Amino acid sequence: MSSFALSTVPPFLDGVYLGINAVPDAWLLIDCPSGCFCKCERIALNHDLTSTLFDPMGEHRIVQSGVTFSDFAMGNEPLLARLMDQLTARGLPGAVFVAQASSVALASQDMSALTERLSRRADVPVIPIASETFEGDWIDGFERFGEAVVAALSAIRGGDHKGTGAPGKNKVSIVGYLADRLEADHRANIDELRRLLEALGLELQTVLAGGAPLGDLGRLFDSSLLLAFPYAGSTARRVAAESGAEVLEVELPVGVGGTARFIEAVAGATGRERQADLLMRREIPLCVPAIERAADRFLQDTKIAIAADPALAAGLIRFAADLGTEVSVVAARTRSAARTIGLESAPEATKKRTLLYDATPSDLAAAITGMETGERPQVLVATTMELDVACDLAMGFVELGYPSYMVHALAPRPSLGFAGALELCQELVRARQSAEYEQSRRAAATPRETLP
Amino acid sequence: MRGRRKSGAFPTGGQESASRGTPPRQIAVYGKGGIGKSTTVANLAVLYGMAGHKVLLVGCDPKHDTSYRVTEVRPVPTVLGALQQKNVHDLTSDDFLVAGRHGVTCIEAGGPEPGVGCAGRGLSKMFEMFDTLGLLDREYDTIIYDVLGDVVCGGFAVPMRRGYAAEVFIVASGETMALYAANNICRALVRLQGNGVRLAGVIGNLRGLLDERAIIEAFAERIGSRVLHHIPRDEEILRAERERRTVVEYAPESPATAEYRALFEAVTALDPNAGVVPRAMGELGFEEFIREQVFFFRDGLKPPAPPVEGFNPALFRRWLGRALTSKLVRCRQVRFSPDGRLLLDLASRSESALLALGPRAASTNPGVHVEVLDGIISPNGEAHPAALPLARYAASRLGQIAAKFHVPLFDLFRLDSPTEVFTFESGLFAWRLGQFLVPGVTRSGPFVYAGEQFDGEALRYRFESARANLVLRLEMGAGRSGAAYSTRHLSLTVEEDERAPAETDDPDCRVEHYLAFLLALSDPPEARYAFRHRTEGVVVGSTQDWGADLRLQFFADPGFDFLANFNTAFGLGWRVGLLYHGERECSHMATYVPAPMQNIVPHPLHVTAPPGMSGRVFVSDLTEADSALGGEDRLLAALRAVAARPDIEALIVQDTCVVRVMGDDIRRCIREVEREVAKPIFYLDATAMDESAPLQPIIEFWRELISRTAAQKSRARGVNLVGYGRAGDPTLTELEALLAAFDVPVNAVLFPTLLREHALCFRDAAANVVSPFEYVRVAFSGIASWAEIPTFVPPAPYGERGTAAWLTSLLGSLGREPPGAEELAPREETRARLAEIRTRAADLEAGVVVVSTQSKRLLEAERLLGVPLLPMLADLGLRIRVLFYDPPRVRELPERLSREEFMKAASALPGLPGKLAVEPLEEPEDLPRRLAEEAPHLIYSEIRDDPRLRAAGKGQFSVNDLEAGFTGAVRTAERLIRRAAPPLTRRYQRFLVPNEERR
Repeated sequence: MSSFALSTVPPFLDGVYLGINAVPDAWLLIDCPSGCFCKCERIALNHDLTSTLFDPMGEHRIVQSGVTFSDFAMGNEPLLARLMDQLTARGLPGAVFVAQASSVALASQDMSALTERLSRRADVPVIPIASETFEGDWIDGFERFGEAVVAALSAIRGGDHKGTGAPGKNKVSIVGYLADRLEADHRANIDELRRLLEALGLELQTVLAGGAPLGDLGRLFDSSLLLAFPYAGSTARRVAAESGAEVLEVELPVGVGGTARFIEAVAGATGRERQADLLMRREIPLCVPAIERAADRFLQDTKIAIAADPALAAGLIRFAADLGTEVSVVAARTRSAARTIGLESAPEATKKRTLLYDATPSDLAAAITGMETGERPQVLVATTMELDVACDLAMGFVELGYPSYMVHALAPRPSLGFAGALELCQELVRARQSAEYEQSRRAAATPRETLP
Repeated sequence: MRGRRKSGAFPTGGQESASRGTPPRQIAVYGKGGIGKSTTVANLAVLYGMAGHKVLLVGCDPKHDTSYRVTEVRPVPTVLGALQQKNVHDLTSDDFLVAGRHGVTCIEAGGPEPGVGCAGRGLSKMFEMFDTLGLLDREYDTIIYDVLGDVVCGGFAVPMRRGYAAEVFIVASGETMALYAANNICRALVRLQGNGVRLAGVIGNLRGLLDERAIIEAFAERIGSRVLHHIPRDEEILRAERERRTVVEYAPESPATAEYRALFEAVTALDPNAGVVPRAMGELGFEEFIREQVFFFRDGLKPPAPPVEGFNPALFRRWLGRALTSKLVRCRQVRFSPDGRLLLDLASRSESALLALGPRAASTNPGVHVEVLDGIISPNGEAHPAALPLARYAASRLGQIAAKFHVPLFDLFRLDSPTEVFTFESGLFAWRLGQFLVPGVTRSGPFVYAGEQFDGEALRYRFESARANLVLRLEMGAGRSGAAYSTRHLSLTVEEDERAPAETDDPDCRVEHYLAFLLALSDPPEARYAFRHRTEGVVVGSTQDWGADLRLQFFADPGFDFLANFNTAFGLGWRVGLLYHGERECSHMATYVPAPMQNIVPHPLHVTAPPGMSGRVFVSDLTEADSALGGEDRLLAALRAVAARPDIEALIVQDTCVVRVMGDDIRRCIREVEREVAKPIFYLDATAMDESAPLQPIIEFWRELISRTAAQKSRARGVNLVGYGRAGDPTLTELEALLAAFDVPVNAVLFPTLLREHALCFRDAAANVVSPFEYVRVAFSGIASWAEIPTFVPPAPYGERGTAAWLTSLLGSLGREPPGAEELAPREETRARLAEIRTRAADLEAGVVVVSTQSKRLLEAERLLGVPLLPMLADLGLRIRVLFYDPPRVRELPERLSREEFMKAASALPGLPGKLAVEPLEEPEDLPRRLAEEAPHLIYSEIRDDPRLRAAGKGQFSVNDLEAGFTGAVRTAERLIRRAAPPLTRRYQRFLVPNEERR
C-alpha cells in the first residue's frame, strides 16, 4: 500500500454489513456514534438495489446506537437495552447480531456479558461479533459474521443439532458464499449452483450467505455434505462438528475449468461420477464451442489485470488461461498477505505476474504503467473502486465484485458455473473491444506529420 | 502466515477452555497505585511457586513493575511493546512470556507513555491475546493478576470478567485515598457481580498511621467483607525490593516473610467460593464514612450536621420571585424542617411569612399542602400558624400553580415551560428529585440522595447514610407486586433497606413516603412519565433514531441534503488532499458513491470524493497498538508524507471518533508539520460524537480557506453569490446572465464549492447575495463577519414570479432603480414555453403531506433548503393539495400551526389563492388510502424511493427537482409533468395483484 493512501480494500465492518444484507432476517445492533449509516450507504443505496438494510420508514436492519461521548464515558448499556426492546417489541428479527465501532471497542466493554444481558430481553438469539476493525478487512468481517450465524442457528435450534431427522444423503449446503448483493447476478449464481448440483442428483438445502433467512439456514444442519467455499472452512467445520456432516473445501467454480473441477470434486465426494460425466457431456457442448470461438476471435494474447477478492481472483486467473489470455497484474482486495498465497504464479503463467494486496488505485495504475507498453493489460476486471484506473489508462473494464455501482443486474448475470463462464467471456470480449476502439480513436486523434 | 486465531469469540478466559480437569485458581489483586499490591502479589506468587504450584503472574499495571522481583530477564518485555514490533496476527506467546523463579511465569501488559493512548485499552488487548493464543489453557494451578485500581474503567475491569478472576483481593492502607480506591473497586464488583466475581477479602498494607488496623477493619466491615491479614511496614521489604527480590526469597527468616506466609496461609485456606458482593458506598456515603471512621474516630468528635445536598436554593428563589409577582416578595431562605418539609422564608417590605410545603400523613388534600407558619421555627419543630396577607397570597399562589399545571413540585423549579415533557432517561426527573427530595436529617444520622439508575424498565433511587443504604425502585404500572406505594400509573417499591428499625418508625421521616407524595401529585391521566418514548408529543422523528414513527415523515432533516456537499474541498482548481486520522473504517466514507446518504441520517459532514479524486484521500491507518499507545507519531508521519507530495498544495485533516477517545492532540501535530512544509493544513474537527455544533467545523474551514487565499480588497466589483449552486450549474449560469443584463457581474460563487480564482477575489465584491436557506445564512455569517462586505438575502429566485422578485430585491439592495416589468420578464421563447406548460399543468395536482408542527417549512423558504415550494408549484400552474395532520398531542407545542392558521398564512403567499386546498388528515392510518386516490398526481417526499408513494402508484418529487431561474422553471415544470404520469406499477397494477386478490 502506498504511503498513507487509501486502499480499495473495504474495511472490516463492510464485510459484516454484507453478511447482514445477505440474510434477510438478521439484524445488526451496532454500538457506534451516529454516522454508521454513512458506511452502509455503499451497499444499501449504491451497490445493491434490492438491499433491505435500510428502510425509508425507519426500521433499518442496521440499528445504530448513536452513542455520544457522555454515553461512552458513563456506560451506554441502557441505550442498547432500549434499542433491543424496540427491536424485539416489533417481532422483527430472527436474530440480533451485536458489533462495535472502533471507538466503542476502545472502551473495552465486556461484549460477552453485555450480549448475554441483552439476550435476556429478547426471545431471539443475540450474538456478538468480535471487533477487528483496526486490522481486519471485509473478508474477516464476512467470516466473523458467518461464524456468528452458526452460533445463532445453534441457539435457535436449542442444541438439537440433529434437526428433524438424520441428514439426508443427497442433501448438501454451501457455506461461505460471498453474496455481496442479492440482485440478479448473485441470484443467478445460486440458481446455477443449484442446477449443477441437482444434475448430480444432489439437493441444495441452503446457501450461507445467499439470501436465505435464518429459518432456511437451519437446513445447514440437515445436510450430509457441506461445500465450503474459500473463507468458510472454519464455519463449515463448526456446523459439521455439531451435525456430523462431511466438509468438502472447494474452490469457486469460475470458468469452464473451475466449474469442471467443482463438479469433479463434489461428484468424487458423493460417489456420483457417472452423473458428473453425463452433466459434463450435456453442458460442455453448450458453452465451450461458443467460448472458444469468441476467445479465439477477440481475446487471444489479451492481457488482463484483476482486482478482486483472492478467491475470485484465483478463479479468474485460471479461466483467463483457458481463454488464451494472461493475467499480468493481480490486486488482491485483502489486507492479509497470507490470503494471496498462490496468486503470484500458476503453472499456466508464462512469467511471474505482478501481485499486489491492500493496494490503492495508484498502486495498481503504477504497476500497469510500469510495464513495457506491449506488456500492459488491456482489460481490467475490478470493482468501481478501480474504475478510475481503467478510465485513466483507457482500459476495457469489466465490473465485478463489491462495490459495483455502474452495473446493476436486473436480468440474470451469473459469474459462476458454465452459465457464468459464458457471461464472463462475453464481458471480457466487450471490454476488449471497447479498449481496442478507444485505442484506435486516440491513435487517430494524434496529429501526424503531413506529407510534404 | 497469519497468527493462530480463535475467531468469532470475545475473550472469555481460560476457565471455560482449560484442557485439564481442574481449572486454575484465578485471583485478581487490586489496589491504589503505590499501595504495595505488586509487592504483595510478587511475594504471594513466589510462595505459591515454592509450594509447588505452577503460577502465571500477570502484571496489569501500565508501569509493568510486577515481574521484575520474580525474574532475571531484563528488560521485561510487554504485550504492548510486542504489538508495536509485530503485526498482531504474527505474535506468539514467546514474544512476551517470561520465565521467573520457582516455576512462576510472568507476563506484563505494558502501557502507553504518559499523556497519550489508553492504558485500559492496552490491558483489554492483552486479554484478547490470552484468548487468541490460548495462554490460559497451559495447565497453570494459580493465576494472579496485579491490577492498578485507581481508575476501574472498562479496560481495567477486564480481569473481573467471566472466565478470569473469580476472586478479588483489595490491598489498602488506612489512608483516605487508598480506601477511596478500594471502595471504587467494590463498586465495580457490584456492577460486575453477574460475571461471578466476588470480593474475597481485604489485605491491609500498613503505613503506620494511628489506629490504622481499626480503620481498615471498619472499612472491611462496612463493605461486608473482612481483613485477611495486615502486612506491617518493614524495612526488610524495601531492602529486598532494591535487590529486585521478593522478601520471602531475600530474607526467608525475617518477620516480614512470616507476615507474608501468614497471608499466604489465609489465602490458600479460603474457600474460593466464599467471596461476597461488597456493599459499596456511594460518593456521599464514603464521605460520611471517612468523617466518622477516620476523622471523628481519630479525634473523638461527633459528625457535624451535613449540608443540604443537591438542592439549589438560588434557583428556587428565582422561580419563587417570578411566581409571586403581584407583590414584591423575596425568598430569604429555603431549608428543610426536621420532619422533611420544605420551609420557605418569605418577606416583602412590610411583611414576612413562613410557609411549609410537604406531605402530611393524615392529609386528604390531593394538591400541594401548604401550611402557613409564622415566626422562626423553634428547635423542637413547633410552629405558630397565623394568617397574614403575604402568607395567604403565597400559599394560594403556590397551590394554584401546582393544581393548574399538574406538575410535581420540583417542576416548578424550571425556568422554562412547565408543560415540557421529560422522561426518566433525561435524568431531569432525578435531578429535580435530588433538588427537592432531600430528607434532611433522620433520627440516627444524615441520609442523603445519592443518584439514580435507569435500566430500561425501572428507575432506582439510591439513598445513603454512613451506616445504611436504601434503594427505591420506581416503575410503570399500578399495584406492582411488593410495591409499598402505588399511584394510578406508578409503583414504588423499597428494594434494598439497610436502615435500622428505629429509623423507619415515623412515617413522615420515611423517604419513600415523601417520594410517593410527589408522585401522587404528578401522576396525571396522561401518564406523563414515559419510560420508552423520548419523543412523546412529537409526531415525526429523525430517520436515524431507530424506532421513530416515520409514517408521516416526508421532509428531509433540515440542511442535510445541501450540506452533503458542503464540506468537500475538491472543488475545481484546488489540489487539496484529505487525510483521515483514524483507522480504515471511517476513512472509507470518503470514497466515491453515486448516491450519498440522503434523508436517512442527518450527518452534515459527510465527505464524498468526486470521481477521479480518490488519489487525494489518505488515512493515517491506526493499528491495534496505536489504539493503546496513542496515534500521534503515526499522524505526524502521515502529515509529513502527504503534505510533502507535489500534487498536494493544501491538506484537510479530519479526525474520527477513535482518536477523540485516544486523546491525540491533532492541532499540535498540524502546527508542527505546517511549519515544516509551508503549506496550509486545515483541521476539520468533525467527530460524529460531538453533535453540539455540526456547522462549526465547516464554517471554520471555509473561513480559513478564504482568508488564506483572498487578496486584499482592491475594488468593489459585482456580487458574490452564496449558496446558489456550483459554478457551471445551468441555474447559476442563468442567474449570472440575468444579473449581467443589469450590469451586475458575479464576482465569486461560494457554497457548496469555491473555485480558486473566486477565493482570491472574494473580497472584491460590492455585496454578498445569500440564499435564504437557513443553514447557508448561518454558515456564511461566520465567514461574512470578517469580509466587510454588505450582505443581502433576497427572496429565493424560483418560478417566474420569484425570479423577478429576486432581481428586483437584489437590484434595490444595490441602490439601482427598480426595473420595469418588461425588463424583469423572461425571454420571449421562455415566456411562451412557460405559458404552454402552465396549460398542461393546470390539469395536474401536486400533493404535500405535512404535520402541523412542520407546516412552517411550507411557508418559509429558509426552512426548506431555501426553496419556496408552494409558490413555485403555483407559479408553474399546478393545483396543490395539502393533507394536514394536526393531532391533539402536539397542539401545545410552539412550532405548531392550526389548519386555519396555516391556510391563512399560505393564502398570503404569492400565487396561492385559488390554487391551494388544505384538507385534514385525521389519522396516520388514513394516509395510504388518501395517497392512492386519483389526485394528487404526484406527491412531495424527500425520502429516497419512498415506498408509500410506490405503493400508492404515484410519482414523487422533492426540492432537488425544483430549479431556480426562468429556464429553471421551464425544466422544473417539464420534469413534474413527466413525474405526474402514472408509473409503470400503476399502469400494470392489475397484473401485479395476486390472483386471489383480484377475484
